[in-house]
Amino acid sequence: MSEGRVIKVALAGQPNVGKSTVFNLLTGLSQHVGNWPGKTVERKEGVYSHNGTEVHIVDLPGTYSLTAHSSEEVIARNYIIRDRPDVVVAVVNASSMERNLYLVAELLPLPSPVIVAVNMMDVAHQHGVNVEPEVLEAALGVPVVPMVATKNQGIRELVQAIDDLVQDGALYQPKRPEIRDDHREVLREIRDLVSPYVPEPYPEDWISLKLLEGDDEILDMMEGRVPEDVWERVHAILREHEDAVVAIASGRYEWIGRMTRAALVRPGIGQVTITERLDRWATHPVWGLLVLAGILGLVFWLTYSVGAPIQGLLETYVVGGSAQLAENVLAGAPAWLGGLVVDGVIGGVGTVITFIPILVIFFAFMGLLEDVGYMARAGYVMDRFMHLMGLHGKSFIPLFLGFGCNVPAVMGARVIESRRGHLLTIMLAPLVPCTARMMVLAYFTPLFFGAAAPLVAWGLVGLSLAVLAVSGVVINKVAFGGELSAFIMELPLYHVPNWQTIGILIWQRSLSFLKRAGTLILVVSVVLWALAALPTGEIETSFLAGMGRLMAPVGALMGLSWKMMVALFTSFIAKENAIASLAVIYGAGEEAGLAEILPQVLTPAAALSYLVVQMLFVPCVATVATVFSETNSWKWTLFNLLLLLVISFGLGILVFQIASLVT
Amino acid sequence: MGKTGVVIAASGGAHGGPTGRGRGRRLHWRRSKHVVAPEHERLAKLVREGGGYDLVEVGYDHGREPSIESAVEAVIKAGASRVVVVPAGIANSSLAEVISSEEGRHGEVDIVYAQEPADGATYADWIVSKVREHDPGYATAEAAFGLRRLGALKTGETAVIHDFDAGHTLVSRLSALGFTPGASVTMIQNYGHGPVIVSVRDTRMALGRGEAAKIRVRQVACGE
Repeated sequence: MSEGRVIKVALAGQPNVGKSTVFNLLTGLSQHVGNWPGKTVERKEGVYSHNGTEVHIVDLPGTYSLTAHSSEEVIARNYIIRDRPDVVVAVVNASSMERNLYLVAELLPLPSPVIVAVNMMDVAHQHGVNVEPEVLEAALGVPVVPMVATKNQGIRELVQAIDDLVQDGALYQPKRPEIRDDHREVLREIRDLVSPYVPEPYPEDWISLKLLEGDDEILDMMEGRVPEDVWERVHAILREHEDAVVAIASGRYEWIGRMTRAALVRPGIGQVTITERLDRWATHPVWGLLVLAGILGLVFWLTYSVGAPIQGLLETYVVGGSAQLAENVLAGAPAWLGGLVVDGVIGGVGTVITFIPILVIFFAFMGLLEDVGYMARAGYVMDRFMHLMGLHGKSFIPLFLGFGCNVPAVMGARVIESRRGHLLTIMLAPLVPCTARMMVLAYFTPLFFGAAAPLVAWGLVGLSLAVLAVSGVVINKVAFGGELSAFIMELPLYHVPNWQTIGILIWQRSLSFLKRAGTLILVVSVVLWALAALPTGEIETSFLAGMGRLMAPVGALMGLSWKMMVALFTSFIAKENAIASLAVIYGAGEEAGLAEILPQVLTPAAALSYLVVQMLFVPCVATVATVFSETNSWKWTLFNLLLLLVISFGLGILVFQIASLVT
Repeated sequence: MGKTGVVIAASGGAHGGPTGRGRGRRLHWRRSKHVVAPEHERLAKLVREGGGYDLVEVGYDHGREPSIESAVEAVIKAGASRVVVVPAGIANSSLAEVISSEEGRHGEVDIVYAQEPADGATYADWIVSKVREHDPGYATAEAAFGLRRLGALKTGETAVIHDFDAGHTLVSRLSALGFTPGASVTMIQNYGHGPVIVSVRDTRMALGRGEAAKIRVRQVACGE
């Protein structure tokens, strides 16, 4: 029959419909995660076999519509139009069918046949909505599969429906939405004018409709193709009917109303839902903040009580152990080789490895909060505060994650749709004091400030956050013109988390960090080792020391010797390196020794300025690597580094000068 | 009470006329000297429809025809007993003089000159609001229709979306999400500050206060 056949299936759906759970069920672990060409939008692909057919699945970005509001919509529709998948599976959420079918109304006019997978049937039922799949199927004329993906229900039926549709195209008799009468004539006029210029493989009707909707991407594309005189006529029509976008959207909703009239049954039990009850607390302007503070406190506590000890164990046994092993193996080899392997390679790889526990904890929390539906609420309650920086509430969670580690913060910024908000969040993330910086802070402050140490430490954390807020306001004004994009965010219904979905998310995010940041960290670590070891093998006379001496004039302004500057540079690998390198440079046997030496060589003013710089300095290489891979731009990465360099040195100088005057 | 006429005073110079949002940028109109430019015609149409004023004319300065004077004349001839002159785009400094001399010519008619638009307001809406300021007959027609802003609904209130007072991009996003004229919206949470939560088409949506103020709603009528 269909032996050795290969088909392409695209998975489409709005956000919060459980699409990734459906994708995970279909493909299991045979997934490939990458990016869409030239975009920072994640692209997931997977394969499964059924009846000898190899089915390739592409998970399209979650979008509410197919009009170009952001790059996600453009990616989704371009894939369907250009790659012509054999089947498009539209996953919809049974508890909000009307709005979810809007995407289906947009998918049906495209060339690929559509299967509607009605997911979350159980959630809908709990909220007093019953969907009758057979009735919906009869109304739409396309296969409809009811599912509860979290309970593994309906997946076999979906696989079968895909197979049936590919085997027999005659099953597909869709009743497509049509434009309302009041705009039919206009649409025809536009089509007549532009149809000779519509490039393959775009459907002419679809292009005309998108023009009438005022879709920016299609307007740009067609303006370049249609001769000027014709375009002027098209444009005159479009200007005359600028309000068509509302009429077309209303028309789609009217169509949805007709399609679902019989298929949606509301028993109409007037009971208060779980979501309503939880939201009374979670979105309250006061209690909501307390709930948020509680949850975040828990994340902190878990990181310190679980993540940090594991990190320590890995440091001692895995990194220390392999360093020991390497030293033994390389005992007879030249000293530089031992140094390269132990300090360069193992040091670098070790840094990467010790990141893992904290990353996993944060990815797990992010995945969990996102999956149960809480994340949107956190964004909602923080929106007022984030507005001051020209950001939305949505930026809050990624920035908060920065307290654990800046890497997940930068990666988490993905949840912000607008490129502007995404970039600004990434630029600000390194200003959040991460655990490694807190460690340096915790080591230094008792040495210099005695009883006032906690006060100084909290003051420095507060300073970092104040700098973050001010930078946000300034970057927003200067680089983005202070304009704020609209805040419209769905608050999904709360539901029980799906551990498999969260597990796969943790796995993929960690892997992606290892792959992308890992290699760069290794390279930089080796380079830094070389700088510290060459040409004499002694750090005192190395290139790195030379660089430190070169920076001495700047250091002098902050009261810092070249040795302290070198410690700053080495903290580029990992912030906690600062302490270890100071020990090496000052020739202290171990950290206890350093604790006695430091107060002798540094005045409290210089120590304070060092901590200020350390807190605000260029982030560690892992963060920089992530900033680069997430912004996909050298320009923004360099801007970020420069910004932090200027801020940290500037404030360091200021603090030292003022502190010297006072003391 | 007599009718209120509207004159949209546009620049007859080289850079006349509003540029509009989005699409407007892309097109350069070659206009002939004696015709009302299409963008002004459209503006007049929007004012007629959006404000319910049937006497709306466009006049140009810089000697371009139809002139502001002839437009004032036209609305008075058509029966206006009060004329509100509103500059479309950057008003030229002599506009006030033109209007005071017109006032002298048509002694029986009240001719009012409205100030220039505030930043960000769409021209048509701004013109309508300006005319209303000077139109006692208008009273509070918006209130009479029961039109309110979505952000003004109290927690628990339900209303029907009437229209939008927003740019194309926001309208496009909102309507795709189910905020279409005729759709029923319930205010779930509104503390009078910060973003609001509304329920539309079985979905809870958080909306910024600014966005909520750009959606006009009316009371649910019987049978709706």
